[in-house]
Amino acid sequence: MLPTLLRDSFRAAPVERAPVPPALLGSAEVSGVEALVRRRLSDAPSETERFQALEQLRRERWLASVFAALGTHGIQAATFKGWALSRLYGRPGLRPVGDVDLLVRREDLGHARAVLAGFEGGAEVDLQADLSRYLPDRSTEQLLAAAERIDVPGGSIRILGPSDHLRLVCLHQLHHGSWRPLWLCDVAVLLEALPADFAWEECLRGSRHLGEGILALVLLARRWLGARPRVEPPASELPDWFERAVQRAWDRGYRPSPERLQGISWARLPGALRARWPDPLSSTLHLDAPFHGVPRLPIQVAELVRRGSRHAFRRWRGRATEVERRGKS
Amino acid sequence: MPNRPKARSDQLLVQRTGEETLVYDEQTHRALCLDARATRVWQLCDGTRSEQQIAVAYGEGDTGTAVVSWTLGELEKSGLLEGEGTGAARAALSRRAMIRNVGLAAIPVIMAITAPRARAAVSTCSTVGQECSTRPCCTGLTCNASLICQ
Repeated sequence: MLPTLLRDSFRAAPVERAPVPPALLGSAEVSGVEALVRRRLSDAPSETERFQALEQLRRERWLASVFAALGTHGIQAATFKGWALSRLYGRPGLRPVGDVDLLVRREDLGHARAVLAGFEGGAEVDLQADLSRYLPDRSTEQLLAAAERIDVPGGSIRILGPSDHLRLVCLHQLHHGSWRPLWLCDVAVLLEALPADFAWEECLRGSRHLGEGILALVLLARRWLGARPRVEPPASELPDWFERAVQRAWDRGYRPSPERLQGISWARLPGALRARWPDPLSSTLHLDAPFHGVPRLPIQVAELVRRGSRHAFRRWRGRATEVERRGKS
Repeated sequence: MPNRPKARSDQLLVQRTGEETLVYDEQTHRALCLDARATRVWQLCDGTRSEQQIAVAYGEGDTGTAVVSWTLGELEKSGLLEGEGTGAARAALSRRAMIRNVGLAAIPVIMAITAPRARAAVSTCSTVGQECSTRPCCTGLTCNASLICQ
């Protein structure tokens, strides 16, 4: 149902009216697609769209002044997601701007933090010097070098280059299990905003499996949302399991981290396993497993073991540090 | 109300969306939405036209005159005109009287925009002290047993 309601809604052109179940509207409020879904109810902008349009404008002015200040201090930066995506939607206000993600060099982190401290709202900036969690095969230096300048009233803002941005938006959502419908809409608008000289081989450069994941999302954005890429992507097929996995992630929404286990009993084991069972999307990504040709179950089991052992190692290290601290005192 | 009303531009962020104009007042932190008619009157307030001239430019004869007069009062009350005014005469013309005189459909609308209910959820991640039941914690934070980011 939600894919049908979101289809074509990210463009400026009016969309066909359709009834929207109240429950679906409620979940759309949480997942960031409320303004898009409400377009099915009325041609006039919704209250949410109006609010978000002003937030987008405010964010643009704020970013312009922040980039001017960072430039004065010789700090190179680039923003991504948030405003950098909302500006690509067909009408201002269709996408919430969310928080601010700013990428700077590691050696500029402290300096940038000090500059941002002088700005109202500076504390809400997610200042980052390393995006390897999402882009393991791109260095900060490469990302900043490929960033592009967007001129806006009152200054200019630098955003990640189109191929890095699309790669990041795709891998970021797979990393989080693609539970947010807004993320697929972001893929759709990015595809339609690609520059004429966009090079898919540059966007897909790196791990072949990550490239498969990106192409799977591109295909899904076309199939579900009607995205029309400005530059045709390489031919590929949607993995059999992929569509069902994203639909399930949308239906389920955000899953909070389960409570810490205080000892394991046989009675609690099924529930504990269910709460920790990893989704196939993030499992495939984290293990750099192929998106095609392999059943998901072994990959999910392997991911469960990986997460479990990492968690156990952190607890063990935490205890060891605690014992060492007590010994010293 | 000055004799030649002028639209305020200082510390206002203005966004046109279709026929509407969205305004954010950086002084009062209020957000307003002007429909097409109110937008038209506001745009005519360039500081060179008198109220009468604005009414002529707006058109619609006697109805237009009443609408312009009423809208100028509303714009002034909303802080969208420059200078301190005396809109007492205009204020006397109530919305009810306007509806009686010109009809509901002809009355320009200036309304406050309120934050949507899900405003807290527009961010993709929760910061320290925020809930992590509907969205994950931001980088470097963990979701505790009470579903609060720390």
